[in-house]
Amino acid sequence: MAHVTALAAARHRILERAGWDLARDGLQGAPRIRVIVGEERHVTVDRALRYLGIGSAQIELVPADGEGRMMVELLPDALAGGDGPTIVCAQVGNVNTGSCDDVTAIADAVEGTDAWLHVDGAFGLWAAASPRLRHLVAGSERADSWATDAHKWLNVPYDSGLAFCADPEAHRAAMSVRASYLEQSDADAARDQMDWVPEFSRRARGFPIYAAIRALGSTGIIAMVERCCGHATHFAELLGAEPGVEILNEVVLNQVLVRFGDDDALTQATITGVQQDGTCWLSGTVWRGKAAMRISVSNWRTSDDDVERSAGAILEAAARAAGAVRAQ
Amino acid sequence: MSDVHDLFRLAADYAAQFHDTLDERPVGPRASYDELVEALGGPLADEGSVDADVVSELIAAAEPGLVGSQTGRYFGFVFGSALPASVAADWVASAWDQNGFSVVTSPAAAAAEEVAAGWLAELLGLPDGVSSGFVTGAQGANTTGLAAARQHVLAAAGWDVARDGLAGSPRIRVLAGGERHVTIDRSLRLLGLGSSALELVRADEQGRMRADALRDALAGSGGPAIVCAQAGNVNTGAVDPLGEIADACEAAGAWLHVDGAFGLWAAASPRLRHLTEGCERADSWATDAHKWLNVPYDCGVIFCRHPQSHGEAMAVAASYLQRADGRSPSDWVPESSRRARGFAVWAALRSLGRDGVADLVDRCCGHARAFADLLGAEPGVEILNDVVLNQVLVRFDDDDETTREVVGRVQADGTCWLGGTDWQGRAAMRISVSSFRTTSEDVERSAEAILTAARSAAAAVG
Repeated sequence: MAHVTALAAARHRILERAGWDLARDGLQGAPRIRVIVGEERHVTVDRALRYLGIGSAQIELVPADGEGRMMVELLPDALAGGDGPTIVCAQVGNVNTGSCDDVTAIADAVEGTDAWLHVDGAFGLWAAASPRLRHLVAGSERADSWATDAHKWLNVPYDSGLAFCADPEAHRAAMSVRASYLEQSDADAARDQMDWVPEFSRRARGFPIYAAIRALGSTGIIAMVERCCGHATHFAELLGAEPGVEILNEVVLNQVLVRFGDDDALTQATITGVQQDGTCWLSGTVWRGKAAMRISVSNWRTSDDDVERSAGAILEAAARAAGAVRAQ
Repeated sequence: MSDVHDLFRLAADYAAQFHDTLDERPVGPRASYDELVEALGGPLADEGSVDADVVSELIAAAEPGLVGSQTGRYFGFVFGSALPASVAADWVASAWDQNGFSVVTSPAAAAAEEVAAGWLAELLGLPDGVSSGFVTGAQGANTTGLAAARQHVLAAAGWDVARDGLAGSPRIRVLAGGERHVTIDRSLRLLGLGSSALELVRADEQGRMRADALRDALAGSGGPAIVCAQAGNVNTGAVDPLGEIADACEAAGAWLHVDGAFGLWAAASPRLRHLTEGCERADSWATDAHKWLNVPYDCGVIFCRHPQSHGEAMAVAASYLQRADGRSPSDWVPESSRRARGFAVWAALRSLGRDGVADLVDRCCGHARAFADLLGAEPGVEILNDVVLNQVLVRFDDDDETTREVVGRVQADGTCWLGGTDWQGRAAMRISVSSFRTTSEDVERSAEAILTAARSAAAAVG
């Protein structure tokens, strides 16, 4: 819902710039909104747009490179290829590869246009907490809105997402309502949460986030993010050293895509074998038309020993799967 | 993270002690917002702290700013309380850290939602085969139900809103009662339907949509139309005439959505069920479990008669989301990664049973009538609504200023907590009874405190 919230603020602002009163007149009859996203954006962006009344035909895809990053050199042409109110969605942390769009280049392309820049950083935005990884998300600070999760890399219980917006007026205008029985605070005196989210009655999500930040401190958060990324690199080394095992992505963050015997069936059989074995759990995906095992490391509890045991179990499952294929 | 046992025991011991002392605790907050920000605030620390210290400090800093929604004398809004079994189940859900996204991400969470939703649909008298989703609250449930409606009524007009969006689509008429809840307006805004698309149908003096006015408004309307009815007006508790509204919608081919955040629970009581008669004929229903079912925040539920439109409006599909057989919870809600809300609902329904839920609803409504009797017997005190459910509107000396003064004095006194409202242009005190903990003694003590506040307010204002 962080996307919904941020994109609702975007929708409000860009239509206002086009002289349209969204709250009063809705989208029916409004200037058509364009949404420009990388081809490998996360599906939640499409779903959030659909919720907001912006259909899939209004989404324009910019091709992505081999790591799933928007090919930013194509963005200026995409922006120039149409007119009207425009939203650009960048991504930091592709759900398969962990790669981050070049947000600096995207912000450069957006600058000087009336487009709104939204950053989907569900987990990838947490790279910004680490001095070593911060370069991956450089330029993100120039966006108009950001969506991220606390229940992912901050390791608080489900569910807890966060929307941030550089345009508080649009954010509030897109969300706030008044009713006489609510005894609402004066906007200048206190922050009523309901003015900033699409919910009304809500769980008090601030308590676990507060406790997590206090328990870890910024040093602890940095260490957790870096440790997870180190484990991912370690997985790639342990698995990639084995003949027939291919790491499909550049392991820049916490994601590793693994393919076995350059074969879809073998890769799938290995994933199933690992899930049945029970040493660890991971899932499969299809990356650029090829089946792959998808390893995500985002848990404060994961140790080197966990990684080594799991890599061992994966390689055993791969060997079993290869043996079964040969036996056929 | 040295000793998890001690840490979790600290939280459990504190919660049990909090529970034991509820009766002695002030019902309203003792600290101001600024004081709480100050107590919790400070710079982001570089170094972390010991977990047990963090939780102890959080408790100490936050406690003065808690409201007594767990007591039997919190009558503000329609808050509900939290049944012990559902609180404990919710803790376990957090300890498990289950993601209620899909069958793959947690088969247990998906199964608990499936079972709990089936039980709820039966309790609320909804038709067999409805699709369902657990959302954050009735706001999210209203948005989800109305998104399904938008998908459905535009598809009937030959427009695929998922593909083509709302810009350029046939115009949708949305009709709602003049006294609908404000979340309806907000849901419509979120969905891209502006306030000018909303046509208000006249309400009667209890806040019920007038079915004759709806019939007139719908007459001659052939295009896409959505009607939002209400079970449980937020001020009076009144329920729209759902049977007659369903007749009018049927004749006009309009989608009927029922906002039943708390009022839909009347259907769980054999004694009160007549109030919501006809609601089973709607196309979608929104309600809250965190209100009258008394589960912890947050938990709303959406039900829909048209699973296909519901799914088309909500479902995601992508290659990495492995599907397993069964119901994928996130296909029916706007969230992706989600808290596993089914566990707490399952526990609440198991702990109460069908009879316990009916008793909870009946008891709250009985307390509301007792409030009306105790307060209404006093000269100068007027009950503004027909107390049919759990809501009581009280006015003092037929005067706005006196009434607001009484509300302020009751809040300051701390015996109970309740809020004020404006009902059809007049200030009123608003009493909502929705806690399983409220006893007759709580009602008597609270009524006494209210009357004491009224006497002192009359003296001060007069």
